[in-house]
Amino acid sequence: MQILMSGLIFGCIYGLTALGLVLIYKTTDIVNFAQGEMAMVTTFVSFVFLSNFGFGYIPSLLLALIFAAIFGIAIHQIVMKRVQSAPPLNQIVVTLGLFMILNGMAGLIWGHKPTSYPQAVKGDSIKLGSVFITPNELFILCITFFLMLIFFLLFRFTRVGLAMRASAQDIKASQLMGIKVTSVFTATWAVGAILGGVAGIMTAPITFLDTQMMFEVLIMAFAAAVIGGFVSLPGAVIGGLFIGVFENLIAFYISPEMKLVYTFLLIILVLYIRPQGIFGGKQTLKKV
Amino acid sequence: MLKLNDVHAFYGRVHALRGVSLEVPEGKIISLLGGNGAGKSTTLNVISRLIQPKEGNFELNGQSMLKKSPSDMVKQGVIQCPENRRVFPLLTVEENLKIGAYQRKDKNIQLDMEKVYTYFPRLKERKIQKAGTLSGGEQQMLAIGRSLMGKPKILLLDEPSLGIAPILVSEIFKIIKEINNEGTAILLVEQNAHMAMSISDYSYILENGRVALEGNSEDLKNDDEVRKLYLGA
Ligand SMILES: Nc1ncnc2c1ncn2[C@@H]1O[C@H](COP(=O)(O)OP(=O)(O)OP(=O)(O)O)[C@@H](O)[C@H]1O
Ligand SMILES: [Mg+2]
Repeated sequence: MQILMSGLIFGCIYGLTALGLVLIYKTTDIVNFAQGEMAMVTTFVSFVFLSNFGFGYIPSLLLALIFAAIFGIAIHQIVMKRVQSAPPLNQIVVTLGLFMILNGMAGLIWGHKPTSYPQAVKGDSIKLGSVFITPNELFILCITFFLMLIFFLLFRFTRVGLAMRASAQDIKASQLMGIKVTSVFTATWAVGAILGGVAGIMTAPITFLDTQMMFEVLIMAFAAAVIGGFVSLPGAVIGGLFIGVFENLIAFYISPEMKLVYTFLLIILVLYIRPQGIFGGKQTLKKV
Repeated sequence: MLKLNDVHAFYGRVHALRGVSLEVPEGKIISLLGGNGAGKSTTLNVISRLIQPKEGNFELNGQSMLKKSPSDMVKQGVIQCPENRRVFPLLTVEENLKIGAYQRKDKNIQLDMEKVYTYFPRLKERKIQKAGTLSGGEQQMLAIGRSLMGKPKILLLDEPSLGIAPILVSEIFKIIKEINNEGTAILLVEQNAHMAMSISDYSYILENGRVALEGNSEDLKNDDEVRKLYLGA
């Protein structure tokens, strides 16, 4: 049981990162390989507020998320807007390029020495039935489900959500309805960056704060998103949880070194049976 | 109230409009005819501000629109129902209609939706169906309904008869006439010149990005030259 629980916590982190990926993909049709690095940069910025300025945890978190929003807006306005109608491969090269640039710059600014990063909530483990869980882990679980639910409802039931879904399906028709598609996309990148920031800040206490902290998380988040169908927000989180638990079980019962291998074997198996992912629609069409 | 004057537009090096001038007066139906590639859709996209002309004027009620955005045009009540319908396939019929009212803030949206359903009762039965699963004719009805949701003062219709069975075409034309009777001016792009001329007040015929011929629809319809060249008679 305890193994399941810690698997779920990792799963949440994968799920959170996958949420940002899926949100951006669903709306703007771009696969953002820089999602992890954007998250890493935001996490470093939050650490600057925490340690250099000596702010408390909550103010630092909020300031970092504001930074993330501005960062997301800047990336869309300066870089991604230009390639919005470019072929998918070009877009991939651009986001991969961003990955490299952000990683390199973060290394220049903050160095390559892993630093420890505080948890969101302190406190000793509490016993829930037969498992122990720390308040911080409980917090990660709650925030993941909260964010998933919020964005799911936003997409389904609000005017902005409708505009996001419409823009994702047909840019020209959306413009003819009076939707400012570019603004919708900019807002999506802002929100995607915020989601990434939350994921990064939740990850740092576990992995240490480091320019490479999101590498494995991003790979797993991609796997989670793919299993979830890449267009379903609940699918991304459930895919994340699934992978987190599976990976932990492998690490415990077989060997920690083999967990990536087995996880990807599982993913290949899932996609073999259901090529569109568990929650995906037909082909590459998008749904909520 | 809407006026294009000597408009030139390009796609890269392709000179698609070579000096188009036309007018859509209040409350009238104006048809814009011509063969494939004549520049009809391009003209509508200039009006919807998706394409910026290189030269010429575009005015609405005496004001230049050349600096406005597509969403400004929608706010002013100039609404385009695009070629090939372009409904949002993964949204439901009702969500498609809601999107049509995207920039409206008034309280009558629900009322207008009911009105669309009385024009097209078939849409009401399919309210919660995904638009992508509708038949071509139903999608055309939805596309027209969706543009009505924006409360158009001028409705730009791009080939509403495209790929639709003749019976349905006359049904749709009847509704276009009704929409016009309620005070909406219409700029109707059509390949089906005969149908378009029979419901419109005035017609323009485009050829190679230029207005080759214009006049009262009634007169043009009875003109021997026009009959030979454009009506296949
Ligand atoms: N996106 C584009 N890129 C390049 N050229 C274009 C583009 N769209 C249209 N054109 C060209 O501009 C000219 C006018 O096209 P337009 O779509 O306005 O014609 P149309 O009168 O609407 O024709 P149809 O009845 O076939 O829809 C054509 O020669 C077409 O090839
Ligand atoms: Mg056309």
